[in-house]
Amino acid sequence: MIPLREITAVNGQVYAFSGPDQAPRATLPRTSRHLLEALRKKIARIEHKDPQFNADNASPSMTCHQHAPWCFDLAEIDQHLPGHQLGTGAVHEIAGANYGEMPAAMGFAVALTIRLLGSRPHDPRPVLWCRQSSEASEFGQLYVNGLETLGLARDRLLTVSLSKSRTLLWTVEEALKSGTLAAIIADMDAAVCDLTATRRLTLAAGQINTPVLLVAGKPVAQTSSARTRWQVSAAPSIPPPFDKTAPGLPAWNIELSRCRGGKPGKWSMVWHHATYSFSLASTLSHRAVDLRSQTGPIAIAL
Amino acid sequence: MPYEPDQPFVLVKTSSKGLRLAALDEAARTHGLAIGERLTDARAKVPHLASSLHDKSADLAMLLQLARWTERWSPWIAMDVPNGLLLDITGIAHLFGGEDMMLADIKDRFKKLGFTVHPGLAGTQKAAWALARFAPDTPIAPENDERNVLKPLPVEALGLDGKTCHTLRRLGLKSIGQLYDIPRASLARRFRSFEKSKTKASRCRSNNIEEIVVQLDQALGLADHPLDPLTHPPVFTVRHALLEPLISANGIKTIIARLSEALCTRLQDAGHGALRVTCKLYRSDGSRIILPTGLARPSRDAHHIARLFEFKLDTIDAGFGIDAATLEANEVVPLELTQSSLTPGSRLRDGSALAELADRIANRPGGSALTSLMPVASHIPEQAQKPTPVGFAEPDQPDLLGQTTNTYAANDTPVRPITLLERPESVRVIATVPDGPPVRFTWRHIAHHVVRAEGPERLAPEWWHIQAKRRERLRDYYIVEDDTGRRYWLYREGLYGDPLTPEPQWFIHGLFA
Repeated sequence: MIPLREITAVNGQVYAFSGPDQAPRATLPRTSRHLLEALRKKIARIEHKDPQFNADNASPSMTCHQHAPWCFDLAEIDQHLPGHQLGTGAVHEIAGANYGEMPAAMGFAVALTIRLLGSRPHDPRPVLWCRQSSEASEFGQLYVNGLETLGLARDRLLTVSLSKSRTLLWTVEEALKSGTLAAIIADMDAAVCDLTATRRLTLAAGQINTPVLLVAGKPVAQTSSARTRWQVSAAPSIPPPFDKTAPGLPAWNIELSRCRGGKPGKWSMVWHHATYSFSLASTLSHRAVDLRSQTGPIAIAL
Repeated sequence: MPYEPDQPFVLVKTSSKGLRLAALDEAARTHGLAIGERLTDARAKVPHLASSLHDKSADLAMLLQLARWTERWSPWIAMDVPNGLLLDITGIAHLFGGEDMMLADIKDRFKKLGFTVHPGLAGTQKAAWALARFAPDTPIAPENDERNVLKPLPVEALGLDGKTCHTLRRLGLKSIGQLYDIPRASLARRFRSFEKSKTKASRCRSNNIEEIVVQLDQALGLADHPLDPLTHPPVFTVRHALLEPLISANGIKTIIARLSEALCTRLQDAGHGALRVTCKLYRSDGSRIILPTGLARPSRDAHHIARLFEFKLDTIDAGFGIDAATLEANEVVPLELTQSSLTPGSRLRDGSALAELADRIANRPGGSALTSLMPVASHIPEQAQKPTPVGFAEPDQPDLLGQTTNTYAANDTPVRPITLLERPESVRVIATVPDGPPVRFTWRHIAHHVVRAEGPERLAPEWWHIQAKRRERLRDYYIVEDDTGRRYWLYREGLYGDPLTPEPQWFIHGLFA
């Protein structure tokens, strides 16, 4: 007789047990894939119908319009994400790969926010950026003209500057619960953004279906409840065709280091502020030579 | 410094000609000393004189404290620096048993604090002031009889400056009564001509002459002379007194919620919304806690207003307990009745939900105002944006609370960094040619090798602004990218080859994404 196998998921790792009287045979699916699926569903039920597994759950959002998915619109990246999209009711961590990459992380967060706003054209709510005052003295204060250069409209942005990270967390949560904002970007202090804090934010974000983008200057080591974790560093830009010595469009090396329900990956990408879209740097660089003869979105972007 | 009980005591102040007496006590006065005398002269007359340096700011603080204390008699008080208090007691005196009783009460209570007061009570502020200072025997002016009461008082009682009084005295006009007889116009004219012949600065003088007429009118009640109160009385107040002092935060929260409801009912009846609300909690030992709150938008939402105080309650010290609480709307504006909509999200659309969020964030301890970055018509980068608190947008600017448009940025704006350093930081730069783009620069002790550079974008100082400093020089901005792909906004201040200005300097101003 073949011994009955039961697979239990503990801390994300799968252990196999064998033994005749672990659990009643009839209730167990045959294959481990089905079992994992069933367990995921069970966890999702425990976790207040997590939208990750419940793709378009009833959102208490103010608009009844069907939103376009919030994604990169690049198949290479989107296939790494659960449901081919970034979760709107979730926390996303964006960290600079090392010290000095804060502007790149901020830029990537802004780009993701612009993608989000673009996917919800009928939602007029603004975006709140909660900044920690210490970050402003380190990397400077937000400059709205520059954010506009990236594509974020100035009348969609609200900022608040707070000196204490605890107050900042409270503010993010309060802002989430109010339901008045399309997205929240917040400077993250790794000292207070632990599992408990991010879990609170995740729950609030899931309830109101509003994403939180936590931006950190350096990689965060500790566990958190974030849906995705990104590491961003600046990449050498591709010069515009008319001036080989000038810097081109913003380019970043991004690494998806953790993604619940997805798989990690690494890419180099370019942000096009005119079309509000990403493109992979590698494909663009091959075509950079004959850009002038081309017509299309990329040429317009340049 | 220990003093004997009846030792004459004076306060001295430093002046250009040495130490002079600024104030003296009764004993010093009986020895024939006077204010303004030199301390050395006074010492010669009264060898056992004790003195101390006059501390003006302490005097002012004391006066302010006393002024707050006199709120027990009237809510409408003002300080008459350096040594007077003005109380508007219109419609109040009967609460204390009439004007005489009230004055007696004031005198008595001040005496207990160790102060001697010279009260004056009249129909006009100026007349009361004159009575207090120049008529110690008749402090109360009969109703509508300021004219007769002021008649015998010296011209100084009008509160004119020393030079004008001196001029009046030289003309033989010693008492206020003498001024009554002179026609107003001719009084002014005569003075002006007199002054013109004496000095060239007639314009300044003539102001003083006008002053006499104005002061006289104010003293007699012919001209308006409102009292500017120390604290503007609240527009709406609700009060709750407790039988037993409260210590628990939950109890106080309940009281505030109740007060807030009462206040909002009153605001609703009057058709107003509050912009500033103050909660005063009175401790049983007589001290009080004042919790001020500001709102981004006028509101009369009881739940919202009560919630704003919740965060503040965590930080207060109830002491021996709170036995009374008031909630005051200090600033109100008319607020129309609005039909609350049944469709979900209407509060989001009209911005009131966002305004309430802004209030909660701003009123929390350690919180700050929600701002939107408003554009300013300036091409100097650091002046081109102005953080404006939500709800307080300039009239010609779109208010983020009301309407948000879904438009995206125009693409014809020059390329700008996403962060601007709080102040430009000096960098060491090596350039191939003096006025060319940098090839290497050192910022915060780290050297960066520049791979690509774009520029210059020349920004000249805004010379058409008067306040623009003449030292400001034009800037040449470069967007540079180092070998790791990070991009910076550098500028060179000044031009090479200009012998009149110092060497150009390099700064880093912003960081690109």
